[in-house]
Amino acid sequence: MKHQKLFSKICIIIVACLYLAVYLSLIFKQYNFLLIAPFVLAGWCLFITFIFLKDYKHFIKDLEAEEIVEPAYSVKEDRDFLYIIHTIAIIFWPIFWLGSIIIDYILR
Amino acid sequence: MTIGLSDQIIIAVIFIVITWISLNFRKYIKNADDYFISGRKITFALIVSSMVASWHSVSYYLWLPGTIFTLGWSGWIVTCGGYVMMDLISGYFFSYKARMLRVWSLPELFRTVYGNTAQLISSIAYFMFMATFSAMEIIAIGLIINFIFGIPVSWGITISTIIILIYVIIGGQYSEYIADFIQYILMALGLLIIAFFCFKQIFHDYGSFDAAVKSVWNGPKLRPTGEWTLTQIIGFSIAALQGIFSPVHMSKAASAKTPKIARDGILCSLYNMLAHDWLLIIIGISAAILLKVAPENTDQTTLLLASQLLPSTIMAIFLAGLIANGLATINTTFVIGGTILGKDIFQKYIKPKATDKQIINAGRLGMVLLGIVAIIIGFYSDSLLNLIYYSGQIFAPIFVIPILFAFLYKKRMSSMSSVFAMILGFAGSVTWIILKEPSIFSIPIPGSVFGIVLSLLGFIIGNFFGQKKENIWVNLNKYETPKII
Repeated sequence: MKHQKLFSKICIIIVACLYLAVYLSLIFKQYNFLLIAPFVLAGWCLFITFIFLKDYKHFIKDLEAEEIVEPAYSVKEDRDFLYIIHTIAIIFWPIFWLGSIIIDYILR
Repeated sequence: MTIGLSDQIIIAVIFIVITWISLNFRKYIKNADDYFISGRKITFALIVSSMVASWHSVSYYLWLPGTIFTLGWSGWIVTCGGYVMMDLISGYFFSYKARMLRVWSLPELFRTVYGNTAQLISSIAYFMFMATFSAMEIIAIGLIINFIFGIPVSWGITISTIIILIYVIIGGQYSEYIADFIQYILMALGLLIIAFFCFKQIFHDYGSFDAAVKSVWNGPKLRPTGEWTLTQIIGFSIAALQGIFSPVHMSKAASAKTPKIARDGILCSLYNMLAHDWLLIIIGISAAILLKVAPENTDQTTLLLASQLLPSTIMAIFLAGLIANGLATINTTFVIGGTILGKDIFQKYIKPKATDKQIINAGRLGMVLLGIVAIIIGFYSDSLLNLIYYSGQIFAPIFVIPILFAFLYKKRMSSMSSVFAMILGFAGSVTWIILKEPSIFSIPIPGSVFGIVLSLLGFIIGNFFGQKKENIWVNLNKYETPKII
């Protein structure tokens, strides 16, 4: 379980770096890095399909059940590793997006 | 331009199979909650795939490469950067909370926070928003059908709407999720196929992608803001506010199994959509490099490039991916329209003691109405980009202020605050657009900016009138214990 968690964290970090590489390739006009993009999309597609198939039996069981009890959840959000990645994304995206537009508009 | 009979048959078979598989899930519909929000049983993978398939529309696959073809990659950063931001905000701040409240739609959320009048007005506004969103999709599907079968776009619009209506009316949201999952795979496959052929041709002709881009583009087309004017940049950035926790986000969050699945599903779908975006940028750039004849209508750039590069059978799979994308979006908008009419209007105002069957039937009527309004809008619009721009200018000012206050403000609010905000926001933006969006002191002011300022003023003024409701976030703990469905 520990290894699985570490593996998923490493995967998330690699994917985040790939996104950064593609965005920076557009900004710094190094278009060969766009070749990364199809691999990212294919990776997502395979991952989502894998998760779907893994959860499928359980999902059908839920659908067949007359009454199901919703899993318990807290009003306080889980601050797991994925949450931290979302937090980084929400901080850095406006900096990249607005930053590149504002700087470019001033320089043109 | 049309494609061969064998390709037409392949496309038809793909859609018959999708429809058959997804309609199989209608047997699990036991009540109105199952029909409209999948009984809140949807898992992570289905939330991600459905969100990508629904929110990333086919119109987007047509106009984005067209815009990049004409204006450079700034076509993406200017028009879509704001939407990425709104998706991040929606997922990060709102989806967990929205699922926790156990509401089924945004008008229901407005009722919980602001009261009945706000629910009624927002129901009408969201219904029109979804009709406009559907209109973009059916125009795009009309263009594709025109390309495949050679029939007029207006016929394509009408036929596709009728087919989708029949399919959604029978299947409800379970069918939508299953169809969306298959369509999500088809969409990605279509994009990967065309990207592969673009790279293959470009590497053959130029040796590297970088060299090819720099041989056809220079100056503005390589820069993040290209040749966009300041009014356009501000206008598109503000127009993106229409995407702040849209009914599509709400529909997915409401049906998620837990709040965490709602949040992570919506956010991961955004990263997924970004990967789609990179490929659409590649298609737009490749069109600029490879297209021998410039398209008459830039919305047809993707189709022209595909017809130039793809062999016959592969072309059929690519087109199936495009149509799948459109169907997935329209599925969702029709289900949302049905939820608004069935649960928010019929059950709430017309027949409070209605049975589940009556609510579902009212929802089905809502889907038909939404389809009719979408067809009418589709007939009268001239370009997809204009429709997206003006939809944002009009709808963003109606929703953005009430949504932000609903989720983030922690004090008591009057029911009139959101009513004033929605009405003044709408009136302000429409008036400003009719006046042709004049500048003030040489500063360009798009209709949406004027509308949002008026909406904020309306919210503050409205807060002095009417009865103040208890803030839902103060007694949050009462939402902690899940009920038995």
